[in-house]
Amino acid sequence: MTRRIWLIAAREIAAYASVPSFWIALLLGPVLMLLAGLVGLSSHAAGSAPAQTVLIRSADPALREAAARALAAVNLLGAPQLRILDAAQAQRSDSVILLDGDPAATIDVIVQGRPLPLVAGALLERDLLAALRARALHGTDASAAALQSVDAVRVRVAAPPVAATAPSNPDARARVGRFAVVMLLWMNLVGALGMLLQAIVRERSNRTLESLLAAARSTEIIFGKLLGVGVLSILLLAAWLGAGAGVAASPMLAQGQGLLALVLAGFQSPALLVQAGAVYVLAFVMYGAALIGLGAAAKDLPAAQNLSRPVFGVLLLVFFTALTQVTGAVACEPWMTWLPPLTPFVVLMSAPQALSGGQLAGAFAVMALTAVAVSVAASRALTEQPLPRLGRRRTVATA
Amino acid sequence: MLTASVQSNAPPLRVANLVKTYGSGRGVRDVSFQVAGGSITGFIGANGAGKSTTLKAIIGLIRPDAGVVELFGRPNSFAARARLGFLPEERGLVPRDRASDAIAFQARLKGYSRKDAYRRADMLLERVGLADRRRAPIRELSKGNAQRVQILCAIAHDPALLVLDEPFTGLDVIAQAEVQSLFSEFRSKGGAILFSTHSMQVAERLCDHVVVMADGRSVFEGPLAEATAQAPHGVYVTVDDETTLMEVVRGLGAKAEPFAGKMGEALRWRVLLPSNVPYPALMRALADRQLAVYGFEPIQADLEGAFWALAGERAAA
Repeated sequence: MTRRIWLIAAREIAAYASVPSFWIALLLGPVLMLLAGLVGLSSHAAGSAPAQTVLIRSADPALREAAARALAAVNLLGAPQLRILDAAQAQRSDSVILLDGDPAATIDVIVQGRPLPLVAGALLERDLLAALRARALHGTDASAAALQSVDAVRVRVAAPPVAATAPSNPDARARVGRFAVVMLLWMNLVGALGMLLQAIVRERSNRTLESLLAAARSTEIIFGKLLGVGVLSILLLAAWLGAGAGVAASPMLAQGQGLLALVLAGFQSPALLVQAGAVYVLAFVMYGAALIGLGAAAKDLPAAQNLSRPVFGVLLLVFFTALTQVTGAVACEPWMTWLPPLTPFVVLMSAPQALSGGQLAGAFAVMALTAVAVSVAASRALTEQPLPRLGRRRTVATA
Repeated sequence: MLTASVQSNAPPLRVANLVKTYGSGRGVRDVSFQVAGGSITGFIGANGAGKSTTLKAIIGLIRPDAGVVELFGRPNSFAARARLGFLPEERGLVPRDRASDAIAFQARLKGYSRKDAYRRADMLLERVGLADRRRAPIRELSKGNAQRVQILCAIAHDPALLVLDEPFTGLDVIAQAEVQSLFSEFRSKGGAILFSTHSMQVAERLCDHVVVMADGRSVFEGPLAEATAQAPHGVYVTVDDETTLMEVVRGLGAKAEPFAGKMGEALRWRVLLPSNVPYPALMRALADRQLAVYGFEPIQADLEGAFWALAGERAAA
C-alpha cells in the first residue's frame, strides 16, 4: 500500500516539476523578497522615509554637540533617519534627549517621546565620553589626573532606546507572532489546495482516473496525491520562508529584524513547532481530502471550481477570524475550537497556555476524526460518476 | 513473451445475478456468466445494454446492489484483482508521459520493481512494433498508437484475466490485427479475456464464447458456435404494404414482425420462415402479389443474426 502511495506521489511531483510554471512559482518567492529588500534599501538611501525629529537639551554646549555627532552616526548606519531640531522648533520634535548630571561624575541620558534606534544608546555613550576626554586633553590643566577623572565618568542611558518597529506590549507581540505563523501556514494551505484540486481534475480530464482506480485503492490515490502536493508545497514554503529570513537578516534591511524576530518568535519553542506541524498536517489532510472529493465529483475544472467555492469561503472566514485575533478586537469563542474547519487555526492562534491539555487533546481528536471522515467521503466520490452537466443526459453510467 | 499467470482451477471470472440500478432507473438487472481460463469471451450488446456497468462492477469501480462477482474463485476484492488487467471505456494517458513510462507505471503499481517494469514495457512495445517510440511522449503518438500503449498498460503486469471495454474502437485495420494477434497469444498462454464490443465481426473472429446482453440482462452465455446456431431462418424485407405482406407470410406459415430500419414510408420487417421454406419461395410469393420490395436480406447464420434473435424485441426497440 505504501509503495503505491509513494508511486502516485512521485508521479504527482513529476507532473508539477515538469512544467516551467512550478519553477517560476518556486523562484518567485525569493525574487520578490530580494526585490522588497532592494526597494527598502533604495528608499532608505533616497531618504524618502520621514525623519524622526530630535531635540537635544543640555546646559553644556560640548555635550550637546557630542550628542548631535552620535545621532549623525546613527543616520549613517541605517533607518530611521534622525533630524536634530534647534530649541526654537522644540514643539515639533518626536523625541527629546535630556543630558543631565555632573560632567565630572555621571551623565544621565534621558530619552522622552518616541524611542530611538537601538544603536543610538551605544553611540551616545561613546561620543559623550569622547567629548569629555577631548575637553580634558585640551584644557589648561591637562594632566594625567584630569584624564583619569574622565575615565571615571559614567554615562547612564535612562530610557531604553528601542527601535519602534514592533508593538511594545509583549502580549501583542506574541499575538502578532502567532498570526504570522498561522498566515504562513494558511497561505501555504490555500496554495496546496489549489494544486490538489487541479491534480484530481487533471486525472478526470486526461481520462486516467479509471485506469488508476483499477490499479490502486482510492485511499491510496488520495494519500498519494496529498503526499505529492504536500512535498511540493513544503518546498515552496521553504523557498519563501528561507528567502524572507535571508533578506530580513541581511544588513540590507536592518529595520526588518524586528519583523523577523516576531515571525521566528512563533517558532521559538520546539514543542510549539511540533504542535504547529501536527496541526498543519491534519488541516492539510482534512481540507485536501475534501478538495480531492469535490474535484472527483466534478466533470471538469469549472465545475470543480464551483464545487470548491464553499471550502475557500471557509478559509476566508478563517483569515478574518485570525485577523480579529491579532488586533485583539474579539476573543476566540470557546465553541470555535470544536468546529472542525476552524479547529486547526484556533489551536494555532491560541496562546500556549490558553488551551488545557484536555482541550488540546480534544481538538486533535476532532481534527483526526474529521480528516478520516472526509477521506472516506472523498474515497467514495472517486469511485462515483461525476455530477452531470445541466441539461444533458447522464449517459456514462448506463453504457 | 506474454505469459498469463493462471494458477488455480477456478474460473478466472464468475458473475452471478448482478444487479446495479442508477438513479435514472437504468443499469443492470440480472447478469450471470463466467469466463474460463485460456478463452476469449465477447461481451455483446447494444448501447445501454449494461456492458460497461457490468465491467465496472468487476473492476470494483462501482458497488453492485446485489449479486456475486468472483475472481479466481475468490470474492471480488482489491487483492483478488491483482491478477486482472483492465482497459477502461474512458481511455486516456498522461500526455507528457513517455510510452515506456506509462506502461512501467502500471506495472510498478502492481508490484514490479522499477528495472523489471521498464524491461517489461520495452518488451511489450517491441511486441507491437513501437520499440522506436518508447521514449516518445504520448502527446506525440498517433491516436492508434496511443491506444496500443493503453492496451499494453492493461497487460503490463502480466495478468491472468484481461477485462477490456471496447478495445478495438479507434484502431485501424492493421492495429486491430496486431492487437488480435496479441490477444490470441495471451490466450494461448492460458490467459482469459473478457471484452465488450459492438462489432460482431471482431467477436466472431476472436471469441470462443459470447455473452449477449440486452436491456440490463444477460440473455445468452455459451460457445460461439452455439450462439450462431441461434440465428433464425428468415429474411429482412422492406415493404410499404403491411396488409399484403401479412397475407403472404400467413400463406407460407411464417411469422413477421417490424424490425429496426425504415426507408421512407416503407418499413423493415423480420420474416421468420419454417425450415422447409427457402428464401426464394418468399421472394416469389411477394412478386406474385406485385408488392414493391425495397429490401430483401436473408438473415445470416452468424453472430449478428443470432444477436438479433437473442436480443429479441428489446434490442430491436
